[in-house]
Amino acid sequence: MITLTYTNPAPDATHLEGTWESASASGTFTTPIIYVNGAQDIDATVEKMKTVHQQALDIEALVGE
Amino acid sequence: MALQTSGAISLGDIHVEAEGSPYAGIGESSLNDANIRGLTAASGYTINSTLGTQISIGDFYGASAFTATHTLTQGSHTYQGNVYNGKFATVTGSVSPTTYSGYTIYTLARFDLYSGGDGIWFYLSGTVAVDIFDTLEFEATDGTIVSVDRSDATSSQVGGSYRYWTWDSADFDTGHFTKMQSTFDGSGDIDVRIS
Repeated sequence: MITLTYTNPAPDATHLEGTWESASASGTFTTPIIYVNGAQDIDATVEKMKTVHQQALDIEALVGE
Repeated sequence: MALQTSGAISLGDIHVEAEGSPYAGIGESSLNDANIRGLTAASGYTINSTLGTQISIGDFYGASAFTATHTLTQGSHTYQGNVYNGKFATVTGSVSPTTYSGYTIYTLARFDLYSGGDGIWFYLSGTVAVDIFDTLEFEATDGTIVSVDRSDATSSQVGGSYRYWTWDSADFDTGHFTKMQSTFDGSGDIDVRIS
């Protein structure tokens, strides 16, 4: 499970930035904010970041096998 | 996109390749312009970059404004329904030179994942600044230059091990995602420019 920590971005921000932590590692992230009808959709942005990063961690596990 | 390799070729075609903008007409460009002489000749052709030297319009067949910084020799690896085409860690493929800005290129590949994810992943080893490059470009199999911007990528620094950037279909120009898919097919070389 990945936990993301971030502060709410400014209204005109283009990216969501913060840190992540899993059971075995940690780091930082940045991802473009998803806008829907001109409004920031932070929930969707966070979900996309989690999905992408979980893929990265899964890939890393593959390389380690 | 590189100039055509046969048939009629005009100064206007060459101008568009060199400038990336429409050709207004006679007088806007000449075969003696530095940017035109700076085009990269196709294999088997020579473009003399010295202004004032003799040159033929036929020397520009296949010429391109694109200059690769790296050559990606693709490998392919399939595991549990996931397909990795390009250079994937130490598993498959290679890239030359092996570094960008002093950092080892750990991965440059298309990941077509069983879960549904499909896109380009670029990894540099070590602790790497997120903005160490601006653009990643490659020449597709049909000669189109496909480009993705670093600012459109999702990126993460994983401890001190590596940083990755990744782009999915929404991050490509119209029609270019399918060109990426057909180019990153797991075989052959891809000319890449990281800048």
